[in-house]
Amino acid sequence: MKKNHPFHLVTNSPWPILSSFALMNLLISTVNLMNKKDILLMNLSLMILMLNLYQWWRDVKRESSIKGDHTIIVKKMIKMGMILFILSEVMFFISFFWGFFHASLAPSMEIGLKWPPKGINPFNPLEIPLLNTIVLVSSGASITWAHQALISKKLKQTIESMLITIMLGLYFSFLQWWEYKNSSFTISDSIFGSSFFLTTGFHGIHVIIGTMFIITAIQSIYTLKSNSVNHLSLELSAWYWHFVDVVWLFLYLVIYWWNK
Amino acid sequence: MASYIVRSAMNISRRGLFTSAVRSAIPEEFPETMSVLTGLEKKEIEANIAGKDDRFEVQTLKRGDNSREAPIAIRSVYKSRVIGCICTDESTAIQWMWLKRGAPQQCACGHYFQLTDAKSAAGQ
Repeated sequence: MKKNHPFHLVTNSPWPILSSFALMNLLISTVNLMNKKDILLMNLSLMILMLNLYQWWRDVKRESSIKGDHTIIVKKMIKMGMILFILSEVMFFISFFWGFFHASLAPSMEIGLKWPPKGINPFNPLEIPLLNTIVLVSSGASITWAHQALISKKLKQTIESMLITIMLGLYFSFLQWWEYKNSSFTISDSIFGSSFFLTTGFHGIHVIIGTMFIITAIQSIYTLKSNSVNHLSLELSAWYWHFVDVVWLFLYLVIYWWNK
Repeated sequence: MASYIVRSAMNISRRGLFTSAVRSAIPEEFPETMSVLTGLEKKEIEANIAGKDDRFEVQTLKRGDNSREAPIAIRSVYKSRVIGCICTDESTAIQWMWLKRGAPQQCACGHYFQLTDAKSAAGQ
């Protein structure tokens, strides 16, 4: 049936329902992990979820590049969806910051009425955390460079700057892992340890997810599925990356610097 | 991506020591944008370049003078189409109605509309 509207009514696809099954399995198997200490089912569920997501996003990329379904208004709607998603992630982090401030602004009797609690030796904000900040801010600059290069149709520069962004992202993850390994306190060390590791840990997961998103964006640029007008994967991964960067800046200010 | 990795691994193992890197070099520029666009996206951009901003007819049309003898012509490939009339500038609601092929129809505010034949999108 021919149509004369710019919207994209998607064809039948199994991935949404299969992803919801995979998610259900993932959540139940995670509870099983916590109770029976059995990680196999959870790993299986994760794998199935990854397979589903890979195929779903592969189909979206095909619809945008090979079928040309992404008209201006469709792109606008996809961007709006991404903005809403990032907003929901912002609220997620706000909840952790809320918990942190609740514990730290009025320290309870149980931790000795002082912050940081007695015995906790927080990280020096001028050492690795400062390097992390420089790394992330530079990666924000390099991904902006990549976007501008893509709009100016410079293929080689786009790929080079994206690779720089990924390497900086991986460097950040490595530095955080190093910090975690050499930390003098753990997640079980009072509310300080809990709030510190939960917030920085979730941020680290978001960095890893953001890095994977940027890698998929490079893949679509390299295989020439993206072009100067149709590059949602780069734009959306850049937005997500900037969000991750901004969260880190808040983290650094509050949880590393103010904490000391 | 995986097949690309395998192919490039095969290429590297087949290369001699003095083969230059030109074959796997990344080109400086993207190919010409219009040559890689396809489908509805391409049609939309071509229409924008040609000056036809409302190719999909989603904009609100300004209503001109009309009468029973000279109604406002609304095109459709189907035998009926929903239209909405914003009767006055201060209207807070849109008057929706089905327009059927045939005689002119009148909105409650007094304006006349008629459904006329149109070529399908593929022909435009």
